[in-house]
Amino acid sequence: MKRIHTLFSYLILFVLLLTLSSCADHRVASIPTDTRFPPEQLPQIGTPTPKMPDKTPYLPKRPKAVDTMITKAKKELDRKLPEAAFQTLERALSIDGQDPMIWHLMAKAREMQGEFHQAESLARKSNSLVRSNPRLTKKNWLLIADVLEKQGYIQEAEAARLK
Amino acid sequence: MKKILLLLLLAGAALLFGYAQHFNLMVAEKFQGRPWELPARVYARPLEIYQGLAIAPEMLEKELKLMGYQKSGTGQALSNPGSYSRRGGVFHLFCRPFDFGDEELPGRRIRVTITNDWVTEVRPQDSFFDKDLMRLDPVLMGNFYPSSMEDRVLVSLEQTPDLLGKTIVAVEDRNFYAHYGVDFKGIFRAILVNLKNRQFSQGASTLTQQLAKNFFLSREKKLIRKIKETFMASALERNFSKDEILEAYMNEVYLGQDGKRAIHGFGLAANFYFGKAPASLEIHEIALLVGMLKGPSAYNPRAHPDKALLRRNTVLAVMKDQELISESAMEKASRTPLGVVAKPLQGHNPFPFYLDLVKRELLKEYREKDLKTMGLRIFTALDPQVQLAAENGVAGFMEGRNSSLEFGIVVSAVSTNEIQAMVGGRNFRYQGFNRALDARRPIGSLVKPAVFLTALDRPDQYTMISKLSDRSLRVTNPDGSIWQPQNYDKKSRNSVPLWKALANSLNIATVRLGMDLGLASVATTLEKMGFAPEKPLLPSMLLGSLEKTPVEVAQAYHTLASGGFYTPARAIRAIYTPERETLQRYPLKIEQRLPPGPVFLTTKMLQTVVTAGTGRKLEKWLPRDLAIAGKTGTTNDLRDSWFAGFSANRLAVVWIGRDDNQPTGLTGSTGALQVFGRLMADLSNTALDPAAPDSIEWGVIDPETGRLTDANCPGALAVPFITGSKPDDFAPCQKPIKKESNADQKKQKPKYLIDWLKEVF
Repeated sequence: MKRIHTLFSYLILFVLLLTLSSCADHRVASIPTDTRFPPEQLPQIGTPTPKMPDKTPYLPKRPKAVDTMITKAKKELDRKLPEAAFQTLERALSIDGQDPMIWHLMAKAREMQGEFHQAESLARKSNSLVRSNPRLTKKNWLLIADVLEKQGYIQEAEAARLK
Repeated sequence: MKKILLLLLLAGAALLFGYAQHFNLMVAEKFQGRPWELPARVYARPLEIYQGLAIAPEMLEKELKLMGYQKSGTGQALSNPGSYSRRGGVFHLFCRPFDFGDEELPGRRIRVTITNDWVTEVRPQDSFFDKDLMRLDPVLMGNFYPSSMEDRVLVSLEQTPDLLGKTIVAVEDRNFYAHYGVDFKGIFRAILVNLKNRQFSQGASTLTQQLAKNFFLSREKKLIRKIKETFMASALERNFSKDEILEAYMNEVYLGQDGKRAIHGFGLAANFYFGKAPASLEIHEIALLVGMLKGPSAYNPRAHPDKALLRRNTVLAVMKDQELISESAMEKASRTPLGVVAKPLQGHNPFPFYLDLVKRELLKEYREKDLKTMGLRIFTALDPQVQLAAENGVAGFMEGRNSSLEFGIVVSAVSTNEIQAMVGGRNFRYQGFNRALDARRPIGSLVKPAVFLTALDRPDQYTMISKLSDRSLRVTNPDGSIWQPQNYDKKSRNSVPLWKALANSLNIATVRLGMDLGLASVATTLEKMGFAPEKPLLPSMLLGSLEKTPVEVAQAYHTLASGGFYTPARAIRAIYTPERETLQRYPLKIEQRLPPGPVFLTTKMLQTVVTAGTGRKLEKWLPRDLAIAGKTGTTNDLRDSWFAGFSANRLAVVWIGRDDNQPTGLTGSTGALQVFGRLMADLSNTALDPAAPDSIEWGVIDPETGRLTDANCPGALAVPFITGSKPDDFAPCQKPIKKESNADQKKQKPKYLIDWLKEVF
């Protein structure tokens, strides 16, 4: 009996809340606090997040071919063959030019070859493509910091390291 | 007397020795370097075949044909490299061996399954090959021939079937392995035969003599030439083994004509007549080719199939007589049809405009003579499928139209800025004036994104929603003249939001904005994008009076498409010597030139050009979800029609105009845009959804007031800003918020800006 009573009071509370919420129609909505991303329910200037055409049977996150090439390039980097790695990665770019990992590894290859300016640009490019991979972003910044430091830009390197 | 005779004899012997030595040196010298002038081969990009690749089966088949692959019946097993069979979306390929420069792949069989225009499976027959790293040998898209126009593909004796060499010897020079270059028995026999028949039909040149003749001797009076030929042949025999001479003979001989191009050697002839490598030649094919040595034009199997068949069967009989083949093999081969394939495309240059681009790049660093004779292998970024799509785009647009229109098209990859295709004129197969490279025309409104980008790089002054005045104005030129720009619709407006001024390509608002920013600032942006306007800077530059070629426009728009990173456009990937050494690579180079935030905002606005502005007509060809960013351009009196646009992976610039610079009657939207739409629709494109850089924050804006508002306020719009430039003032929603169920809300939520605009206005 007591349980039914408790349930009943919850129900009243729920209905009350529901009624009250309808009075909030003209209430000022709170401004979204995180403004790094566009509010989802609104049309954007430009277009909303686009979808692939419906005939796509599946869309693997990363084509296996790119995966294989990335693995190959990593091995080549481990074996201190930066030029071979760079060529493998260029091949991968022709399949998916928007994969930030490819650009990151290209930066690594160039850093290994002492081409610091290119290494920095490639790492920045990688970061411009990252969506939600803070680890990769951090790796890119560390790489940028390294190559800046190697060129004697100590302060800039420090700033990059803190990003 | 005796003494004199002896002296004369000695002198004669010394002269003879000296003469012979002279030929000896000549022969040695010739073979020390490259004995042949070899044309340069220019290859398209190799097609990477992998699970998840978007490709229609028809497109794959088209590419295989361009590669010179021969189609077999579906039931037959593929026996030769360079062949394929197809049943629906299932392809069986027998890939040719190929040296890609960074990797050499042997011939291999693979099965490719395409479902709904996607590759769903790639299966190599031999598990040794990685199915995730399959690339096909590339289309040979061009050749640079030596001035002699001799074309050949060198082969070594090991690369040819034994039977080929034996048949050549049996038919052309039976005593080849016995003589020393000159066959005196043969000469005697020939004299007898000729006397008997009272005509000079029988020659007695050995293979060595034929080689000597082809190699060194010009047309001279017969006797002198014959003497020289004899000396030369003996010199060849002294310096080289029989196998070396036979190999040289196989590579040297003339075996037919293909327009201006002369087909030399069995390596090329096997491909030219049978679409295969010499190693795969069958008995009847060997007999046909060897039979042609007697008279390559007279026995040309394409021109005179009956004569060629008779000659082939004669050779087959000789092969049997010499016990090279059995009687049953001879009979079977004699009954086999000629089996000659359609003339392969590879000898010609099917994409002359792109080849022109490649040649110009090469001539910056190489001598023309070297290009045409050193046998270089040049790997380019040409994508035959993109090239065909661009050509089809032009053809589709031209249906039923004025034939004096001309075209310049450049398509490139957003990631690498490699040029994938180039159209330099209406007539794709004939290389005339290459408009993609050389037609320098005013770019019209294509310049506008540079003006708006310059503005958005000053976030304290301009945002996407800043109000611009579009009221008419008069601008004084440096020379004192007055210029009064007008809008395309001849109207002017009090005020328009900045994004809309670009979307609708408003001239007056753009000029006002550009004058406020300063011509020098806009010029700096243009320079960073890839081209600088010529000085002195004139206000008319703000409406695109500057003249640029399609390839230059592509370079500048690429910098936007790549998020502000400048990458020099490239056509060539690498060059290799015939000895497989890398002569040169052209690696990807990038440089951040434009700030990512303003580039992001400009890209967003260029997307609104397509969804709600002058580029709206694209929706006829391309799904809105691709979110293409683009810009139309039209010049005075409709002389030039431009469109430049990009998806996430591909960028294309189209120009339409006339060579006499007369009006075309086309705007950017009714002309170039329609070619752009057609060509992009034929290709796989990735939706454009750039990641917002760190410097971007979003705000909910009421476009009527330009202030922040509530997310649930009708008409509210999500607008990106450079951090810190978002308006501070908040205007509470003044409009009643409709009561709607969630489902209704979802249904009615405008998905695109244009829908939203329709609701608001």
